[in-house]
Amino acid sequence: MGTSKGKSLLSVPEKLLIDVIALSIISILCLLFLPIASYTYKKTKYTLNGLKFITGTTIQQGSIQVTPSWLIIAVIIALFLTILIAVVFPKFKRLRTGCVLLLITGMVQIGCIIIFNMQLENMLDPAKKVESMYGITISIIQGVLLVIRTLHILYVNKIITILDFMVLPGCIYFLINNYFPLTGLFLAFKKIDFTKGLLGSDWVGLDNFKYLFTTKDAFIITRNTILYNVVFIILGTVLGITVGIFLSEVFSKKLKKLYQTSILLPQLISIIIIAYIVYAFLSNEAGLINKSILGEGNEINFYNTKIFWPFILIIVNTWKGLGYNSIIYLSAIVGIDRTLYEAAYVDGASRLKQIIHITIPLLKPTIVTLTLMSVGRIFYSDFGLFYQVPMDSGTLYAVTQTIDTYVYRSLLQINNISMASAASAYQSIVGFIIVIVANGIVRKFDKENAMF
Amino acid sequence: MVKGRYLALLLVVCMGLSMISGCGNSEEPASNSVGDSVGTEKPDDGSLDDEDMAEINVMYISMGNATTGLQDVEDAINEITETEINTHVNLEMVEAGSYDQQVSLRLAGNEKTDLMVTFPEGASSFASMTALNQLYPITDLLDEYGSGIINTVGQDVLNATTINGETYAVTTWRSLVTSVYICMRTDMLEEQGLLEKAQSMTSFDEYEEILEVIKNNYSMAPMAGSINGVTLQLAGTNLLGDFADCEVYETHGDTLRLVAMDYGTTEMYNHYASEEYKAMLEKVTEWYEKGYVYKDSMTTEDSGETLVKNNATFSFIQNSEIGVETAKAAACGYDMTCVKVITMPIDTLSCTKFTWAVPTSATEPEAAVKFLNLMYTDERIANLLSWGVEDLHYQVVDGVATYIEGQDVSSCEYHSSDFLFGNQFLVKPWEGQSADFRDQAMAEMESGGKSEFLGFSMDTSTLTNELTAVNNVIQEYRPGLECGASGMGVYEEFLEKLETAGASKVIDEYQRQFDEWKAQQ
Amino acid sequence: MESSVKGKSEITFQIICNVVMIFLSLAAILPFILLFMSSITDEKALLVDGYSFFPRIFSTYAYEYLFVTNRSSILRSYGTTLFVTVVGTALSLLIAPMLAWPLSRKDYPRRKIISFFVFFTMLFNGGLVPNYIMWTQIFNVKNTIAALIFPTLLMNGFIIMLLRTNFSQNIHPAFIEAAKIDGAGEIKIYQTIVMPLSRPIMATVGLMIALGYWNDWQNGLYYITDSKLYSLQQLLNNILKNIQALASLSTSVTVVSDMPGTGIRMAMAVIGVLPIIALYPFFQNYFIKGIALGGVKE
Repeated sequence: MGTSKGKSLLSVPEKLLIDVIALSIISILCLLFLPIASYTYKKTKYTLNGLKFITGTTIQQGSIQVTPSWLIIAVIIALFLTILIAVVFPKFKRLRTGCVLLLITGMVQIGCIIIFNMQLENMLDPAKKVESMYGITISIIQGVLLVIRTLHILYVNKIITILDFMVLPGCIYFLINNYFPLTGLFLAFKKIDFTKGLLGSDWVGLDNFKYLFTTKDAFIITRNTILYNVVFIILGTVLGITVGIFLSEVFSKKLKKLYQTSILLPQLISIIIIAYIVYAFLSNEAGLINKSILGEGNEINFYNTKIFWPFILIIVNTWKGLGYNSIIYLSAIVGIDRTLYEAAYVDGASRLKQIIHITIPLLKPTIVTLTLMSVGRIFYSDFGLFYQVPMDSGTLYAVTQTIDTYVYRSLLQINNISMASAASAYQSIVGFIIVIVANGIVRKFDKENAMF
Repeated sequence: MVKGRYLALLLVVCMGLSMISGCGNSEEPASNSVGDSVGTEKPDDGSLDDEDMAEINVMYISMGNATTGLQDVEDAINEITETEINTHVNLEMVEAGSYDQQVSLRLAGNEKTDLMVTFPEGASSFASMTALNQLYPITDLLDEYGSGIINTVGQDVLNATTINGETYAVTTWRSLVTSVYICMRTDMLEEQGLLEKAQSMTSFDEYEEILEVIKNNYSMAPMAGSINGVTLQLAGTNLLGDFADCEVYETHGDTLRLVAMDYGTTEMYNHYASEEYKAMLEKVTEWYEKGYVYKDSMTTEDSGETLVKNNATFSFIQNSEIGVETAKAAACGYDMTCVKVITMPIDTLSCTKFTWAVPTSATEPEAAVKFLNLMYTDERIANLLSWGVEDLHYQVVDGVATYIEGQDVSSCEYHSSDFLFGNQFLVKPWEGQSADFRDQAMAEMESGGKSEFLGFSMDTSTLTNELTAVNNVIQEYRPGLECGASGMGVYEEFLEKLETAGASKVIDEYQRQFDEWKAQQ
Repeated sequence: MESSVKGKSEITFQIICNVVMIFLSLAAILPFILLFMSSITDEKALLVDGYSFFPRIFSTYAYEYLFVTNRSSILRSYGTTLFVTVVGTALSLLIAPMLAWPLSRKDYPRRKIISFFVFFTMLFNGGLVPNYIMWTQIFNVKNTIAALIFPTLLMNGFIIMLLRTNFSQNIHPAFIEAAKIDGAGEIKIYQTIVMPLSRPIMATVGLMIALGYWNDWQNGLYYITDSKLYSLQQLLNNILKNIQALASLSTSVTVVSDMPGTGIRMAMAVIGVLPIIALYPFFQNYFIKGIALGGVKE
C-alpha cells in the first residue's frame, strides 16, 4: 500500500481518526482533573482543577468566589464536539467539511484557553501570584496537534497543496497583527469609562464621530487630505515612471549606481529630520533662505504664511518618495524583454514611440496595483509630513491640517481612545468603499489587473 | 504504516505528559490539589505576618537622566516598606516625552499600575484623567491610611483635588506659590549700565526701554518666549503697565486658560475675550513689530533658557518658585537678574499641576495609599526618591545635597527632582540653595496666601467634545497671537471660532458647578 | 537596458537623461550636506548666524557629547536597531515571498480569497489600543526585543501586492510547467526558479522593510520603557520629546539643564542615517547584478 490516498472517503481507514479521539479524551480528563490554575493566598500556594471552574466553588472560607467559567465550559464542549465529529467523520459527504469543522473546534478551543489565561487573574482577585498550570498547557498542545492533524489530512488528500502551506505563515501573521485587533473597532461606538472597563462601558452609537464632522474644519481637513493625496498619486506615478525610464537608460553603470544611491537618500532619513532640514532652510532667525539668500529686511516668515505651504509640502513629499517610486518602476522595467525594443527599432520606431507603445503598456499592472493601493489610502496622510514639517504651526492649519493631524491634536489634551477609534474607523470605511468602487471600475476595463 | 507510526507517537507523547503531570509537582510544602483549607493554613486572625505582602507598581516621570541606578533605590526603599507596611514596591520611571502615551496605553490595557504622578497638561494631567474617569477615588483610604497626608497638606489643598465629594489625587506638597519673574542676562545689563534700572524695575514700560537698548546694541531679538510662543500671557496673570497694577485671577484649574474669574467676584468669563488679554496681545504685537521678540518663537523647540544659553536672546518671562536666580543661572549658563512682577496665591491650578493618584488599573489601592502616606511623612523615602541612595548617588555637604566627587549630571546613575514626590520640604536642598532653603520656601508659601476659591474642582467629563474643539482652535491661533507674529488682524476670527467651538457652553458649565459649590460652603 | 537606438538622437537622449539625473541627485544630496554641516557647527553660531553650508565656527561638540559622554546608550541603541533590522528583514524576506508566490499563480484555487484577505489589511486598521492590548497581554512582548520586530513592521499588504505583481510579470507560467513536467515539486520550483529570478524585487522589498525597521520609533514608544532596549530613532525621538515636555515644566527649580541643543539633534540625525548610507552601496551591488540577470531568455 503506497503513501498516497485516493479522494474517496471509503479508502480512509477508520482508525485514521482514533488519534484525534484519544487525544481529545485525554485533554478533557486533564482539563477536569489536573490542576489548571495556581494561586497564592496568605502565603500558601494552592491549585485548582478544571472541575472547580465549571461548577464554581468557594474557597478560602468564602473570601474567594470562583464562578463557573463559561470559557472552560466552552472548551469542554468544543472537545466533545471534536470527538463527535471525529467519530462521524467517515460519514461526511465531503472530506473537506469534516476537516473544516475540526479546524473550527480546534480554533475555538485554543482561543477560549487564551482568553481564559488573560482573565484568570481577575477571576481569583484577592489571591496573588495567579498562574495557569500544566493542565491548560496540555490542552493547548492537544489543540495545536488537532489543527496540525487536520491540515495533514487535507494535504494528504490533495485538498490542500504545498502552496497553501507556503501561504500559511504570512496569513497567520496578518491574522494576528491586522485582523485580530479589528475587534477593537467596537471601541469607536462606546463611551469609555475606565471604572467600568473597556468591555463594560456604555454604547453611544455615533457620538464619538461627531467631533470629526461638527467642526467647521471638517470640510477643510477632508479637502486637504484628499487633494494632497490626489496630487501625490499623480505626481508620484508620472515622475516615478519618468525617472525609472531615465535610470534604465543611463549608459554608464557607475553613473547609474551613483544616481540610484543619491535619489534614494531622502527616503532613508526619517521625517523628523526632514522637518529639521526644512526648518534649516526656512526658519526666521537662522534659516538658509532668510539669512543668506534674502538678506536682512527681506525676510519671509514662512511658518506664518499659508500660500507657500502646499508647494513646500508637495516638493518635500516628492523629494522624499521619488527614489522609492522610481526604483519600483525600474525593477518592473528591467523585467521587460529587450528583444521587444530591438524589434521596434528595426521597425523604425523612435525612442518616444518605444516608450509609449512598449514600456508603458507593460508597466500597466504595476501602475494599476500601486494606484489602487494609494487610492485605498486616500483618507490617510503621512503624519510626519503634515504635522512635523510645518513645525506644528497653528497659522498654517488651513492648508496643512489633515484628518490624521486633526485627530492627533484633538486628543493631545484629553486622550479619548474611543474618539481615536472613531476617526480610524471613519478613515478605514471610507477608504474601503473607495477601493471597492475603484477596483470595480478597473475590472470593467482591464480584468487582469484588478486587485481582486 | 505511516499513519500507525504517527498515531503511536502521539499517544506516547500524551501519555508521557500525563505521567509527568501526575508525578509530584508539589515543591511547595503546603500545596494541595484542592483549593480548600487543608494543611498549613493559619487561622485568620488578621495578623500582619499572615497577610501576603502587597506588591505595588509606582510609575513616575524620569527627568531626562539615566535611570540605571533605579534598582538600588528600589532596594533601599523596599527595606523600609517591606518591614513597615508589608508592601513590596516596584518603581518605574518613564521618560517625560512618552509619559502621556504610556499612561494612556496602560490604562486602556488595564495594566497594573498602583500609583502614578500626574503631569500639568496633556493626557496624563489631573484634568484629563478625571474627565475620563481614570482615577480611583481614595477618600476613604485617605481617612484610614493617609493621616500623615492630611496633616501635611491640609484639607483646603486636598479639596483642590476633590470632585463631587470624592478625592481622586493628592497634590505634591511643594512650593505651591509661584511668582512671575522677568529674567535678564546680568552681564549684558552691566555692559549697558542698566543693572540698577533692571533691579529696581517697577513697570513693563521700563522693561520695554531696556529691551530697546539691548536690541540696538546687540544683534539679537532681546526677548523670547517659552514653548509655543508664550511670551507675556502666563496663566492666571494680567501683565501690563506697572507691576503694582498687574492682577492675578482665578483659572479654576482650566489648563486651556479659557475660563477666568476675578477675585472678589463670582462670575466666570472668557479670558481670551477680555480687555486685559487684548491689551496684552496688542503690546506683544507691538514688540514683535519693533523687533524685540525672537522671530521663531512660534516654531522653536528651544526654551527661553536654551536660547539665552546660546546667545540667541537676552531675556524671558516665566513663572517660577523661590530660588529662581540659582535655577536660571544653572539653566542658562549665565548669571540672570530676576525681577519679581507679581506673586500668585495657591490656587487650584497650582495644586493640580503635580499630583499623585491611584489609577483605575490599580490592584492594591490600600497598599498604594499606605506608601503614599510614607512619601509625605518619611524623610528617608523622600530623599531616596529625589536624589537616590546617599553616598551612592549623592552626598550631603553642609546641609545640602550635591553630586559625589567625580560624578556629574551625565554619570550619576540616579537623579530625579524634589518637587515631584510627596513632600518637597523633607528633601535636602540641592547645591546652590542654602541649607535653610526649605524654611524660606515655607515662609513664602505662607505669606502668599490661598485663593478664596481653593477647593472648587471642576468635573469636566461632560464637556469632552467642546474642550477638544476649543483646544483645536487655541492651538491654531494662540501661538501666533501670543508671540506677536500673527498680528491683531486674526484676533476677531479667533474669538469667533472659539464661540463656534463651544466656549460659551464651557463657561456656563463652569459657572453652574461653581454656583453649586458656592451654595454648599 | 542597453540602448537600442544609435546615433545622434541617442546622444541627445543620454544628455537629457544625465542632466536630469544629476539635478535630481544634487537636490537629494544637498539638504543632507546641510544637515551634516550643521552638526559640526558650533551651537551658538547655529542659532545666531543660522544654518549654512559654510559654518563660521566649527565644533565637534555634538559628536563628543554623543560618543563620549553618552557612549553606552548610543552604542547600545545602535546594536539593538541593527539586530532588529537584520532579523526582521530576514524573517520578512522569508515569509513574504512565500505568501506572494502562490497568489501570483493563476492555478492556485484560493488565489482570489487570499488576495482579498491580504489587501483588506491595508484598508482597515483596528487602532492602537486593541493592537497594544493584544501584543502586551496575549503575547507579552512589553519590554522585549520581540516588540521591536513583530508588531506592524514585519510585513504589510503593500509588499505582498508588489511581490505578487512582480512575480506574475517576470516569471512566465511556461517555466513552471516545464519544471513540473521534469518532476519538480513546488518547493523545488520556488527555490530554483522563483528566487533567482526575483532578485531585483526582493532587493527592493528588502530595502523597504529594512528602512521601516531602521527608522521606526513608534513600536519603541508604545512597548519599550526599559532604556536598555531603546532603538536609535527612539532614542533621538525621546530626547526631542523630553525637551518639549520638560521645558513646559517651568515651575521646577531643579530641572536638569542637560538638554541637547540643535547641533546635537542634527548630529543624532546624521549618525542615525550614516550606517544605512554606508551599507547601501553593498546592497546595491546585489541589486544591479540582479538587474543584469533579470529578463533574460524566453
